[in-house]
Amino acid sequence: MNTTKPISNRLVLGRENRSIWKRMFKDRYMYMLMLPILVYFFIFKYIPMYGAIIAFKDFKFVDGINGSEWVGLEHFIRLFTSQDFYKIFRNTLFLSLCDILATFPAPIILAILLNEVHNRVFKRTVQSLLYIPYFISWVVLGGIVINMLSPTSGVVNQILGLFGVEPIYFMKSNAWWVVAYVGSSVWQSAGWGTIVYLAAITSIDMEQYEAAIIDGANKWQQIWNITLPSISGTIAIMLILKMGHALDLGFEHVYMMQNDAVLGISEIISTYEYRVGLEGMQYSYTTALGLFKGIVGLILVTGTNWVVKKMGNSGLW
Amino acid sequence: MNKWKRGVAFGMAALMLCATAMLSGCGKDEAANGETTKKLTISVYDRGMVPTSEGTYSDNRWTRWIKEQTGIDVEWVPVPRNDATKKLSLLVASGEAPNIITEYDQNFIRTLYSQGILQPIDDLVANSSTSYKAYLEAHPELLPYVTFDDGKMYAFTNVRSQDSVANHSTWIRQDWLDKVGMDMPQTTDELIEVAKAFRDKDPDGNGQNDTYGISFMNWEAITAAMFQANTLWYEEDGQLVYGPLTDRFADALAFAKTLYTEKLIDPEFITDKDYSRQKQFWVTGKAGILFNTWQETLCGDLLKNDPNAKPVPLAPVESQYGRNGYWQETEAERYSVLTNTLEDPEVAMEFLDWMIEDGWFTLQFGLEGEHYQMEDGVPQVIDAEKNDVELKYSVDYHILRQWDLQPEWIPKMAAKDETSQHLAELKAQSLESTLLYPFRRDLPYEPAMEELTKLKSDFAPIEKQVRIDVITGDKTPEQGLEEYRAEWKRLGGDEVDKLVNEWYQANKANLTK
Repeated sequence: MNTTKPISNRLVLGRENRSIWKRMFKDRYMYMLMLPILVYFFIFKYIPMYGAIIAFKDFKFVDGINGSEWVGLEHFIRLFTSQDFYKIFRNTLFLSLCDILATFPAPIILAILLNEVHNRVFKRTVQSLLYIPYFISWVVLGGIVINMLSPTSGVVNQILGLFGVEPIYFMKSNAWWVVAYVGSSVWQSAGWGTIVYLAAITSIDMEQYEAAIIDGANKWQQIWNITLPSISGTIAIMLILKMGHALDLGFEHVYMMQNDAVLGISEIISTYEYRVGLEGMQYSYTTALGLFKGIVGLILVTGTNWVVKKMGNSGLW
Repeated sequence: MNKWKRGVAFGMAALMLCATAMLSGCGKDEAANGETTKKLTISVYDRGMVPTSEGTYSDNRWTRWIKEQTGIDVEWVPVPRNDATKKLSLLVASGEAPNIITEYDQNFIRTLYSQGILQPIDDLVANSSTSYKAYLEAHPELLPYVTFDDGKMYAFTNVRSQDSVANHSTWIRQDWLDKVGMDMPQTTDELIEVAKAFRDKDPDGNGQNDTYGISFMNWEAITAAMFQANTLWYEEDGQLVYGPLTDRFADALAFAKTLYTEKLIDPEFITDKDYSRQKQFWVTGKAGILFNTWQETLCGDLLKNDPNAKPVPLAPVESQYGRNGYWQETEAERYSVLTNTLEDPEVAMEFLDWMIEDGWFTLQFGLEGEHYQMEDGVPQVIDAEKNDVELKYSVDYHILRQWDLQPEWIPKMAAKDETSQHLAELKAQSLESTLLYPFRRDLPYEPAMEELTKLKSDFAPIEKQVRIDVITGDKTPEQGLEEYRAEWKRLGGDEVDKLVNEWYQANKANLTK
């Protein structure tokens, strides 16, 4: 028995292999369609990873990536021992936490609200209006936000003025800046984010609602007991994807809204990378930071995936 | 049907593959054919100024003219002006550095030097040069700028014309001064008094309290210059000290704080990052003093809005440390360096000799009879609109030049209509008054040290934030200075101070002005 088992295993393996190749050959045109995408990922996502080794080197232009001297973990040690690092890491975590808490539920709520709107014309118009901010670059949106919040000419302060509130210089105060940052995030992305959820909602079987209505469920109960559970899988996937970008807070967004007075709260990893890496030409050091960011992102994604699976939903993998 | 579908799918896949292959394959030019002609590649700033009718930065009437005149096949490599050092760094990193790199930023040139990319040029100039050699002999003051730490010369440059030595300046409304009955301010205190009067006495006469004293584009540098505390190294008792760490800097901060707390400037300057509000205040007559540059065109816009406005240049004001000029540039203009990709330095020398002897004049003023005519020994524009199209973009091709503008030429060179003449007159006055007062700059350049670059990039955000905290918050200027010094120390400033001073002692001979 013992001697025959490996042989039979090999035979089984061989048959399986053959059938994979066979299946691939059968669907060869499908695989060809996939090829450009694989090539794209290989060229633009995998090859550049090679450059990440400069995080362990003292990168100098003349010597190139290969020729530069190995310095081991020197850049990481410098990173983890610098006070600035903890400040920007804390800022990044704090801002992304606020960002996720506000921008993650917003499109879900919005999608459910939109789903309950029965006037088609009104629904379409509202949807289109909600999508618009997503297509405007932060360079422009940032300017709009700053102007709207201006203490002398901003519309927000003028409205507050009607209630006798003294003008507030929102962009100068740390606390208000965070509110403005998160608020503008919601404003920009909530509308666009509804698309996925609306698609998920349309796939819910209408019979469930009919049955619920017959049983006397009101709107709230329908939403709570049918709509939300039905789209929970989509919500879980979106949350995992979102977590992967937690440390990747939009550079343009923060950079455009940032000003000298709130640097203490608004300096995040990506703006720091830009300033030190590109402007200060410290490539190795910022590559180390980027690598660190990638690893934290990976941990967050796998962690969320694990939690989601524990909660009974199917994760990404 | 099925076959047809398959065919389409296959075709699509093939097409996409081709597209990917083409995208990744482009950017590789064919190798040069027949190495008989002399060749050079030179970086040129891309300021996005070449009109489509003229071609591109690498192919236009002036690049062709250069080829024709020199017989050298010069290929110009455009680098975006705003990202020049980044783009150049990338070219160098990928082994595709142009043979000659031209750049204004001395520190960048020194970075290239410390990375071992540059070729020394002493022997080349001594043995093969004609015009540049003579020029350099006539201008030995340039030597400290181009001689690097190993005592060899690494860059070509020329003396700046006065109009590009002068940079920052201040403008003030003479008509507002008359209205509030005050004299031209001479000291920092008087400047504040005048600004207060502009704030309170309704100088625009609309009956509303809606004017500011000062609007600005560059107030950090201008206020710091009043107290000789710019972001430069100053010699104090034989030791070099970084400007923001000197005692004087607290006074500069105190001055700025007064401007803010007295509401002499727009309190929203923090979010006005592109200075659009500041510009608007000046051109719409809501501010009486403008911190800007000497050749500011905003006066033209102001005069359009208010023909009765009388903007005049304000000479630097005096602080307790004396009268320091506005920020000025060093004598050396643009640097041209030979990189390690250049195989035949003789060709480069021939080209640069031609440039400083003959080439630059035509590249600056165009062809005689077509773009300019000589009047009173000054090249005068024939048709400003034609030159805007055909000549305006050529500013970056004369990488070496012998140009020395005299303030009295400005009106002569300008177009003849009344407004142009009036503005040219103002510009000339402004240049003259700016040049009257030398700007304190103790070192022609800083050492190229990695430690210093690191420290400065770590220090910069702290510097900004503390500045804002002091100016708009509760911190006193003295506390701000304390914090500066503490942060500098925390970031390893003592070590860098030591290195910088060692460098200073070792290179003192080269650094004397």
